[in-house]
This record gives sequence, structure tokens and C-alpha cells, in this order.
Amino acid sequence: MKSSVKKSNSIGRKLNLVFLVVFGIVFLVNAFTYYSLNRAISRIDNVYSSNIQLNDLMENLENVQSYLYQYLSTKSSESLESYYEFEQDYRDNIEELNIDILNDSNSLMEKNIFYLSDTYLESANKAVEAKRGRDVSRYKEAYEESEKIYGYIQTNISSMNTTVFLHNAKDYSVLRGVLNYIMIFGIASLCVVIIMAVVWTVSMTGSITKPLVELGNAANEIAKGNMNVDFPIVETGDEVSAVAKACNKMIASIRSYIEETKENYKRESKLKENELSMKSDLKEAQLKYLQAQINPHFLFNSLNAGSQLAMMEGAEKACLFIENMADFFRYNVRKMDKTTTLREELDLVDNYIHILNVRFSGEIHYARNIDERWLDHEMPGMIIQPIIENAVNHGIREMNGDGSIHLSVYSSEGDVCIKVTDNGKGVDPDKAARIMRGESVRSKTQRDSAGIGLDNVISRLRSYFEREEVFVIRPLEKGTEIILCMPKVRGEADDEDINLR
Amino acid sequence: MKKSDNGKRKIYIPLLMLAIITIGVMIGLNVIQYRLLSETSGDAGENVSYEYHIAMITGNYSDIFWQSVYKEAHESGMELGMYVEDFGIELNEEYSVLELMEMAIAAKVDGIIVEADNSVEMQEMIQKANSQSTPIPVITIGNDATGSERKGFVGANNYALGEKYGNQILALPEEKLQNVVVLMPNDSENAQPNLIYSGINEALMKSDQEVRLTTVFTNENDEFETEEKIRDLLIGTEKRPNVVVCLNMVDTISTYQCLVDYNLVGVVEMIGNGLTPEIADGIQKGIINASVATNASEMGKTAVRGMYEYVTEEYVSDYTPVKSELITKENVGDHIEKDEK
Repeated sequence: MKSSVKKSNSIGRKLNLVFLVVFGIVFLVNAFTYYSLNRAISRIDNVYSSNIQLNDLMENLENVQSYLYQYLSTKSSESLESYYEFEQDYRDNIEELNIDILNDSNSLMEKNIFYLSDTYLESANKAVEAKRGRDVSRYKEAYEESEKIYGYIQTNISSMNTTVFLHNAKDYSVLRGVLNYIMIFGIASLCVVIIMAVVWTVSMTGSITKPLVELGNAANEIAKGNMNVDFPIVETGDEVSAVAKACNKMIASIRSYIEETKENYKRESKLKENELSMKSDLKEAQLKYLQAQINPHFLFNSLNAGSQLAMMEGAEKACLFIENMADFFRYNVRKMDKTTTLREELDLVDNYIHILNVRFSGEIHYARNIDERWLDHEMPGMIIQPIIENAVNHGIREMNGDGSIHLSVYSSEGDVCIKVTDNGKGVDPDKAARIMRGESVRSKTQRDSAGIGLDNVISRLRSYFEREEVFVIRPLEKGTEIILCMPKVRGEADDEDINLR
Repeated sequence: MKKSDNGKRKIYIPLLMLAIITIGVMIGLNVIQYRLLSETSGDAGENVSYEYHIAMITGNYSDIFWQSVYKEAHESGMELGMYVEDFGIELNEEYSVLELMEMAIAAKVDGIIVEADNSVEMQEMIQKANSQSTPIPVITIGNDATGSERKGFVGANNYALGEKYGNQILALPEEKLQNVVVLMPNDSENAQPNLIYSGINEALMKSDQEVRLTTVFTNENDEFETEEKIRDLLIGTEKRPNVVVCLNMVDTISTYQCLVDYNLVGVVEMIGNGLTPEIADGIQKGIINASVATNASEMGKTAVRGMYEYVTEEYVSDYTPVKSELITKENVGDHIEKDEK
């Protein structure tokens, strides 16, 4: 799972990146503003340095002149020494001045001051030399000259000082403006950077938390029972998407597990249902039977006694009839809730037909066509007899003339089929459809000898063979046809019909 | 894979934008700061170096005439690699022409163009310039220092100028000629007005017409006094002249103003000197009859050319005349146009 989170996309890394970049940029802006301020301030510091320099120049010049005067008036070696000292200083000072001819009045003034000073020092030195040589007229002349030039230099320097000062004052106000400007600019750009950083950070954290919130919502939805919700996967490649993927896998496996359980449950409940309905159908049949009959044991024991009595008295027909009666009731008692064979069922039909023919004095012609291989085919009991009974009661009895019933057993497409055809009154197609759907069509007034309806038969067949297509009732041109199809339990491929009768 | 790449890009786009904005802001700030700072003297633009440093010294820096002379001299000097300095204009103290010359000599300039006079001191000063260890050439302009060691003179021929004035006076109606006053700048050391006056006289003598010519001295260096004198002259009906002839620009403007103020237009004719927008206006309105003007820009240009010739070839002609023109109502338009150009 860890491998699916790319290191470069992890939340931690994203957050680190945001913080580093924001702090870095804020630092940069601050540093830059500070640097600019510092530069401007250092510029301000320089503004008046030129004035200071000019003042130094002036001071030195005054010193040179005063020591020159002192020397010329006193000739003291001390003042000469000082004179030379200051003269050297002054020379050093003027060395810094511009001597090029530039298109700038200040530079030009510097040049003038330089050369004036040069001339001044020349004549001052001349005066000193002449004083040493005691050439009175010459030193006086030189001194006058130097004094005049001294005056000129003073004027020049002070004029320059004034213009430079005015200039500097202007510069100073500009620099102050720059300073203010830098400050405002720094604050403004900091604000902009911070706003952008906040927007970025918010969107960034939003992109991190949004998938989490979505995950939470999905989890809540699932908790409410809606298993069809998928966890949303935002392909950020970070931990959240990894979690979402894992959750999706989990929910998929839970879903398939639930599906499986449901399937099992369904199967189980269906089985149970089958069993229950079979039991209830049987119970119903039995109940009906018991309600309709007197105690069959007593009845068929009595019948057996009756038949023996008839035999002893030589009434053969009566004996056969009573025997059939006895067999019929015995079967009913014995086979009601048990699996039986086709053979026994057919025997029961024989008994029943015999009884009916005695009762109705041979009105019903009964014919059978049976594939004997299926005589031992297992099937639920009390199936065919109710069908015959139904055919007699609803078909033949309600018509005039001789009724005939034809029963055949054959195999068809893996099924063992029992077909019962009568030439009775026939069945209404709607009614036939309703019967096939398993609905009870009996009315309360209807008389029912055995009490087992077709619905019961169909229901039991369906339960027994666990399939729907077991019973077909079809109206014919004259009469009704009923076909039962039961799956072969043993696979017998041969479909050849064998006529028994 | 592609999706996650997109995601990555989404992270880096704002990052990139932030970085770009920050860097842009910094560069912008730097540029703006640099621009603002460059307005200060710290960076004094291009520092073109010139070969020669020429000091130009004139008596009156406030005079429009000399200002335009200097302007032209300065401009044509630059073309020739010479920086012509308006020497002394920046100084806090007022110095005389002689003092400024001495200062220029001490400052070891490469040449001096000076509005000289005929005084002995001027001659001595020119000599001093020449006797420096590196001799400084001096060219006089406007007023010459005759007999000095100046290398050349650039200026109008004052005599010819006087003749021009004279001819203009004669062109006036005869009845006006009975009382003509010439305003003389009161400057004993300056030969210029005198020469002009001689020129005027000469021209009038030549004609048959009778002209009564008198002179009134004004003080050239004191504008207030000039104005007072002219007012006094014009206000009294008895003394009032019919024609006033002015020999310099200050007198011309003062007289013009006086004529306008006291409603004497048409009563007093005037002939002026020089050309300023104000004088041009007066000529156009017909208040000033005519003005005799020396071409200031030509004078400046010629002087600098002369100086250039001297410093490069060590020769310049002794006298280079500068044309003077008579400006009347008819041609004043051309002159104004020329000035505007």
C-alpha cells in the first residue's frame, strides 16, 4: 500500500513545499526591502559628505593662509612648519577635486578651485621664499597676490558649498521620497505575497481535505446501509487516494461476501419453503381424505370381510367389486404421504375405474397405452387417480352417452409423460389456464368424491420434482387432455413406445 | 500517471506565479529606485569631457543680449570640443570684469572671451594673461580693448551702426527732427556709445536736413535710474523730444514702456537697440520706429570660432565684424521666426 503513494505527492511533502515557498518568498521580499532601504539610507549618508569635504578644504585653506601670514609677519620657524604641514594637507585635499572639463557646473567649479588653489600655493610659496631671501618688495607683492586669490578661492568654495548644499537638499528630499516609496512598496508587496500565499495555502489544504471529506461522506452513506456507494478516488497520488483505493477494495469484497450470503440464504429458504409447502399440501390432502372417509382401516377390513362373504356365497362379481374397493382404500391409507411407483398408481386407477364402472354400470370405456419400462418410475402418490376422478366428474358425468378415458405413458425429451384423454364435456380454456397456474377452481357446492383437487396435485408435483412444467391441461375438440411430465430419475434413452393393450 | 502529472502541475503553477511575481516586483522596484536615485546628483548623467575650458566674461549677465551671446557661444563651443563657461555666474559675490579675468587667469583656463573696455587696467590684465607660463589667449567681444595684447576682437562696427541710426533718423518726418535726443549709457570707459554717436552725427551731417541732436546720459548699470531719467525726460511737455534714440536694450525697453504708460505713442518717435520679444512686439505695433540690433548669436558663435582657431592654429584675425541689422515693421516677422528656430 505504501508504494502506491508517490513520495513526491505525499501530503507531508505538499505541506512542506507550501510552507517553504511561502516563507522563502516572504523572506526574500523582506530581505529585498531591507536591502533597498539600506542602500537608500547609505545614499542619504553620502549626501552631505561633499559639503563636509568642502568645509575641510576651506578650513585647511584658512590655516594655510593664517600660517602664511604668521610666518611673513614673524618669520617663526614654527609657523613655517605649520604652514608646510597645512600646505601639504591642502594639496592632498585638492587632489580629490575634479580637474577635467566636464559639462557640469559643479565639476567645472572644482576644476577652477583646483587651479586657483594651485596658483595660490605657487604665489604663497613664492612669498615664503622671498621672505627667506629677505626680498621685501617681492614677498609683499606675492603675498598680496596670494591674498587676492585666497579671496577668490573662498568665494568659489563658499559658492560651490551653497550650490552643492542646495543640490544635496534636493537629493535628500528625493531620497526621503524613495525611502517612503520603498517602505510602502515593501508593505504592499508583502501584503500581495501574503494574500497569494494564503489563497494558495487554502486551496492546497482544500485539495488535501476535500477528498477526506468525500471519503467520510461515502463512509457515512455506507454506514446507513447503502452498499452501492463507491469511495471517490481523487488521483492526487497522495495518501488520501491510497486510502480511498483500499476502502474501495474493502467495500467490493464486503459486497461480494454479502451477495454470497444472500444467495445461500435464498437457496436455504427456498428449500425450506419447498419442504413446508409439500408437507402442507400432503397434510391438506390427508385431512380432506380423512374428513371425507370413515376410518379407512375399519372400512377396508370390513370390505375384506364383505368380499370373503361374497366369495363364499358365490357372488363373484360382488366379490371382485368389494376386493377392488378394498384395494382402493388400502392404497389410499398406505400411500398417501409416501413415494410410490407408476405401477401402483396405475393399479389404483384400474381399481377406481372398476368401482366406477360398477357404480355407473359400465358407462366408462377405459383404455391404456403404457411404456412398461417406466412402471417402476418413482413418483408421489395419489396423482393419477384424482386426475381420472376429475375427468369423470367434470367431463364424462356431465355428458350424455358413453364416456371413454384413454391413458398413455411414454417418454419424451428426458421426461416420463402420462397423458389422460377423455371425451367429456371439455374444459373452458380460461379455466384450464387458471388450473395450470395452480389456482383452486372448486366451488363450495361442488361435490368431490376423493376430495383431492387438481391444484393440490399440481402443487405436490411441482414440489416433488422442483420444476414448474409438470402439468398441462388442454381442451380438445371433444373432451380434455391432461399431460403430466415427470423428469426421468434414471436416464433411459430409448423412446420407443410399447403397446401393452 | 498523466493525471498525477496534472496534479503536480497544479501545485507548481501558483508556485511559479508567486516566484515570477516576486522577482518581477523586485526588478521593477530596483529599476524605479534606480530611476529616482539617478535624479539625484549621485549619477551626473554622461560626463563628456572637453578639451578646452574657455571663460566668457561679460559685464552684465542679466542682459538678454549677452545671455543669447553666451548661449550661442556655449552651444557652438560644445561642437568644437570647447566648454565655454559663463565665468563667475555661479559665485555668491559680484565681481567686476577685471576681477573675474584675474580669477580666470588664476584658474588657468584655456582661453578668455571678454567684453573689454579701453581702460589701462584691462590692458594690463590682458597682458597678465599673456605672460602666464602657459599664455592664456584673450579675445574681446562687443567692446574692444584697443592697444592691448588681445588676440582678436569680435563685434559690430559701431561707426557703421551709428550711420544706420542716422539714416533711420533722417527717414523720419521733417518736423520731428527739431528735437532728437540720443540716450547715452553713462559709461565713460566704454567707447561704444561714443562711436555710435559719432556715426550718427556723421550721417546727419551728410544730409541737407537740419537736425537738432542732443544727448541725455543714462546709467547703464542701474536700471532704476535709467527708467527714472527717461520718465523725467518724456513727461514734461516743454523738454519733451520728438525723437528718442536708444543705444542699448535697457534704454529701449524702458523708453518703450514709458511711451505706452504715458500714452505718448505717435507723439514721440523712438529708434531702439537690440531685439527681444518685447521690442519685437513694440516694432510690430509701430510704437518703436525701428531697432538696430547686433546679431547676438552670430557674435557668440564667431567669438568661439575665433578662439578655436587661435588655440588650434595660433592665429585669429584681428577684427571680425558682426553684422548689425535694422529691424523695422516690415522685417520683424522674419527675425522672430529666426529666433524661434
